[in-house]
Amino acid sequence: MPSLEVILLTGRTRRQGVGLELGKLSETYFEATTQVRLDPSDIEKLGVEAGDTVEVKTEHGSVILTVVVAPRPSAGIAFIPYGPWANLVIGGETDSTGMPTMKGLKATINPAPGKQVLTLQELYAELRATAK
Amino acid sequence: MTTDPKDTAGILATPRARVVKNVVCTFCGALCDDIQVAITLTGPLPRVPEGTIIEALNACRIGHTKFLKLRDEYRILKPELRSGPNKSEVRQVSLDVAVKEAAKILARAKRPLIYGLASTSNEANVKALELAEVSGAIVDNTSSVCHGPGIEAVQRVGIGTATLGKIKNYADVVIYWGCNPVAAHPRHTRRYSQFIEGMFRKEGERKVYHIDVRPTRFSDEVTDFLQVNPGEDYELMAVIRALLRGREIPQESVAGVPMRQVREFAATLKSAEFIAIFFGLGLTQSRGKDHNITQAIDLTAELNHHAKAVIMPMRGHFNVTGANHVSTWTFGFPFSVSLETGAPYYMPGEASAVDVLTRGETDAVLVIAADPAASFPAAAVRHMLKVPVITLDPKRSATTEISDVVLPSAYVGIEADGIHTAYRMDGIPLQLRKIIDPPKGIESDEHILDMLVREVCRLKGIKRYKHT
Repeated sequence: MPSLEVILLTGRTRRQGVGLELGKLSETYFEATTQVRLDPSDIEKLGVEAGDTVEVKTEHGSVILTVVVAPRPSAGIAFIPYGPWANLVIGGETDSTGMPTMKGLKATINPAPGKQVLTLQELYAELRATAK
Repeated sequence: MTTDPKDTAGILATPRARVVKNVVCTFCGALCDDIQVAITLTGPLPRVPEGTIIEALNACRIGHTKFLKLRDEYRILKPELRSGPNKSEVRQVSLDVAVKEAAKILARAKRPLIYGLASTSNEANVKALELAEVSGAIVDNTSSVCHGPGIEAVQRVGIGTATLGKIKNYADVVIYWGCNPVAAHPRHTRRYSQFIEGMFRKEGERKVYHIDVRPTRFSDEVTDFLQVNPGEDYELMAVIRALLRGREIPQESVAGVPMRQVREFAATLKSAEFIAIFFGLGLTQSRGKDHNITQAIDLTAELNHHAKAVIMPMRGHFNVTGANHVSTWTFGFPFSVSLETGAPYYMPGEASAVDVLTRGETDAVLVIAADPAASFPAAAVRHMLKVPVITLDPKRSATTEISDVVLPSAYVGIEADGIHTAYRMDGIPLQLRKIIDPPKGIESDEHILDMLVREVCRLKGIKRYKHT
């Protein structure tokens, strides 16, 4: 199965901003924060299409997200809007600053046919199960 | 294309609605203070109750959502005690009962963490810090995962900054570095830089640069976009400093940006009169973190040999600047303060929320107007799932869903009683007004925190210091 090495960025989008003011449990917020934006060339390399699910993996964890076409060229970069799903692949180390590295991580993307994006409740259930 | 500010409140002033002018929008750190809010009067519109906000002119899409969606299904109207393995068994209780339960958790805890404070008023911050003192807590605000590294840089090298008004009136070159104002501060360019006429600058006369790791809609609108490799902003700034000093750089590109483009940019900076640099989390959350900001401030200092130059962080939450100010005037430190020993200790990396949680070093968490369950790395959230969590928030969030005690509060600047203030990103304090009544029985963060201080003092037998 094709696999893609990318630089992972997390950040704000306007839709995510609207979603968080609407409510973190809203459909808008879910839709805005459970996506990974990829360049069309990278989507082609993965052999998937917009709307398909992929697994984004870093040294800190992995997450299933929906593929969205990046509106502007960004080959080699995967962008996930801030939110509980993005935070599954971010580490807790802060280099003594208090700030985790939320941008510029190395990540691997694999197609995840048939896999579903976790709901917020499922996400916390999984975190509870893996809490030591 | 200047469309703001609109002054069309007249069209809203029907006999069925009143209009409140110059309302401060409490979404982002730009604190737009020109919102015109229409509120229904008696004799309500069909199916719209009296005192409902039906329009918020001038607000951006995010601010507009905030004003108009205050009372949707996600609003919490009663304090809750939550239990069960997934905190899904919800018992609605009175505010007194919920506060007593929360105070019991705080008084019992050996090392409580108080976190948030950026989306509430300075007055609520004052009470939260008092609560931290009487609880012997670690208190941290959201700047530790936002512009905290920038503050650490300022403590190292100082900062030359200005008000947004001065930038609007004087700046002929404006740089947005590692930020996307279109997404996070949607009216910033229209109020202070690109699409506004200043006292000494005509609209369209300014040069606006965007430096970021990926192109966005904003990059299409600017004079030039410099696409830098992720995590290499430091190198780019260092090279610009060298060029300003007249050094030769033999490389063909730096940090992914062609040298030709960098040279042109440096030449523009050298011939400018007033340069304003706005930086975002692209610098503070990438490799280098605080060092990136140190370099950016040093670049600003270098630019002052050629022009007037200032630098400012694009603060996110509407009063994160205030949270830093209040913490500084109270304890001497802006965030990540430990009060475990009774005296304040400043320890980013030790007393910062993500570190405390990731290392599992707290036994209770009080969250005030923030959502760490949605914004912290999984490693930190895992610990939150193991300890009692108390949350103050007007609406349901990821954190309220994993909380033991939920204390619903009024929106400050819209519903909250009393005098409240917030600091804009440039440190200008603005007063927040109440424009509509809160839902019945809902109090302000300040009021609830005062109740908590009183109860924790009672449980611990502490005599409360009376402010004069």
